Amino acid sequence: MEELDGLLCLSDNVCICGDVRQGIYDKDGMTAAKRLGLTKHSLKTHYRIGQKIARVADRLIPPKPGQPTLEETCNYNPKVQGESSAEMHECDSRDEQFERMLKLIRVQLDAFKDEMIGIFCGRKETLAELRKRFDATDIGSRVCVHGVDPNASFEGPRRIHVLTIHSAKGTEFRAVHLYGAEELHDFPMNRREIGFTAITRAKTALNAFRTGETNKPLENAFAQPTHMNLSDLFPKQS
Amino acid sequence: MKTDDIRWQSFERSDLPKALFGSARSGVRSWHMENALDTGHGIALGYAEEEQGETYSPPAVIVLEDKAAAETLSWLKTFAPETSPLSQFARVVSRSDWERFGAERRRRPRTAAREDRWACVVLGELLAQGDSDLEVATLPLSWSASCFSTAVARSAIIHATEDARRICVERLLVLEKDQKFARRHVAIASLEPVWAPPAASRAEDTLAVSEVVDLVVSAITRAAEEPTDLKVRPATLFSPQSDLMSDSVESRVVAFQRLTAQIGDEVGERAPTALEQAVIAAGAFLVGRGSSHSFLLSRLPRRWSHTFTWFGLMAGLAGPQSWDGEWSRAAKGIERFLRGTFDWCGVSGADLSWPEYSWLTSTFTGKQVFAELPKMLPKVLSVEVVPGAICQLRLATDSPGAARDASQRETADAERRERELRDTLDQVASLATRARQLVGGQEAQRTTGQGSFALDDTQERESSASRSRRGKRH
Repeated sequence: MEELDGLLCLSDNVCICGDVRQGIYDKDGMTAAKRLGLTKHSLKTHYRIGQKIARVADRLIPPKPGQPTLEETCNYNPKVQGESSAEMHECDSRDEQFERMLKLIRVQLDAFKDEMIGIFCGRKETLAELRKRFDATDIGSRVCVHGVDPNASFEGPRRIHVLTIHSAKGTEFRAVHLYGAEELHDFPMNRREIGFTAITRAKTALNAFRTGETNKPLENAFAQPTHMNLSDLFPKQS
Repeated sequence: MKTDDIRWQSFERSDLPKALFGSARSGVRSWHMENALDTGHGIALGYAEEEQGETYSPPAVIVLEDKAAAETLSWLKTFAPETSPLSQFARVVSRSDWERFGAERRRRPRTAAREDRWACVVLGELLAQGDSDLEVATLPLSWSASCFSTAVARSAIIHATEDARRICVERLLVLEKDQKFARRHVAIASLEPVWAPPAASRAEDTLAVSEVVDLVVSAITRAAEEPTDLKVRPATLFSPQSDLMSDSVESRVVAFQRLTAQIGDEVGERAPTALEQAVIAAGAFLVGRGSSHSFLLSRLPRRWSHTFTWFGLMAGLAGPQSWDGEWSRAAKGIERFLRGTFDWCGVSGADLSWPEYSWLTSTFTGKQVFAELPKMLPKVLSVEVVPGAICQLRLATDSPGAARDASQRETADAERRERELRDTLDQVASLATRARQLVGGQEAQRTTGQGSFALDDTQERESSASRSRRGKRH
């Protein structure tokens, strides 16, 4: 509030943007706008997030009754910006997670020319693990690990950025990888807002990797419709 | 400036050098170039009407009678070497070129030539001829002056006739064969099919990316002299069901990787055909749905560099709506050079005009002939292939073998000189010894007990000291 008061002294126009579903610190910053008597504008559409990614976000935190979903308000043009994708990969080990992620990143570096790729993890310790893993590859020099690398910055030629979900707030990437999603299994990392924040950083491609279980709401949000037959409903007794 | 506005003069041969340096008073004036050629013994000097000065009036254009060109140029080089090369004074044109490109231009039907399409073709060639690490964003655009496509584009744009393009290509082939110039990665023979569509396409035609790909690949397939045994059928590759047509960019990249691997396996170590190169270029063009993914081609081995020229053609035909920012900036930058208006009396930026290049190469052999010419750039010669269309050519450097031979020659020369020097010194030493013996004998006869003729250091010092003492006494 004090900061906002200060800003209002300096400028006639102050814009505060917020989304309740991204409140990962359990604070409602938008109440400040109310208390200051600022005019409220609600955005009717968005352009950033592809339909398939918006669908996952909507499943994780559905809008309030009567409110439109992210997918419904999506103005993303798949013909121009590219068809979006959202997938969760179940892997046997963290090694496999990294290998599958690396394979996708190599394609994305070509596909999304000059655009940034984000890799998110739940724990700070995972940042160091990823630094080590990338250093053993040929693209290590193109990776910036925030919180580990000295002088880590979004400026410069490095196109791949590794962050914790908490520090990813306010960023956006053409492709997002959620590495080690099993780290979101327990409280407080299993809060839906945390998953929602990570998902809504992605514009076109979203991939999550887990070894073991992550939290159920997140897993269900990524669930793909599959064909079901009688044998699935009534498995044979052995 | 219109050709009708040029005033012609002819000169006695002895007055020609003076006239070239700007003194035009002694010439026979004429309204028609043909008359000036007749009275000038095969050379007519043209002057821009409004620029003729009283005291200084250099010619703006020089026309040479085709049959008399060799004799005229030889005479000038021999008796007025300061006037050679003539191209340094003004644009030099043969009479046949003047008639072909000057007068006939008005009678022939003009073909449409969109400069931006040609700019993309030039950009494609620039990427193909350059090193593999060239990037569209940082490409030095001045290098486009060395592209064969630039000369062809200029001739098509300025003269707007099929004849002009054909003559330009024929002359470029002569330049390409000239061993005095460095060889290039992409030959004219493989560029010719790329030059045909921009010359033939109508300015108002706009095609979608997929239509351009279909058009180009189908045209090459039809034009292939031998039936293609390409296992990857272009019709299947570029069908709406193909992954290269997917709305997912990642799927298109993966499809492109599969395509290059598949065709790469088929091609093996042999040189890829035009169709194989065009199919790969089409794949990259479809990945970006335009020009944005040209960088995918730079990872291919050098023998695939012709893919860039097909890529440039596709970008040209698909038009600006298919260009990304980097391609747009580079293409428009090149287009500026192509759009420049042509004036017969304007300054030619070329080091040599075509008639003078032809005469020099037919008269003199060896690389030295170009090395001694004044040039705009070191090691690069620019030739005006047809009026207004210039091609820059890098002069060939010696091959590693020739360089080694030259180095060995230099070493042998140095050894020979050293040997001669040593022999000379030996002779001097031997003469000195003989002189010492002679003088020593005479002195011994004159002064009994005096030492020998001082040649070694100690004796020289003693001798100097003795002379010095003698001096002091004086």
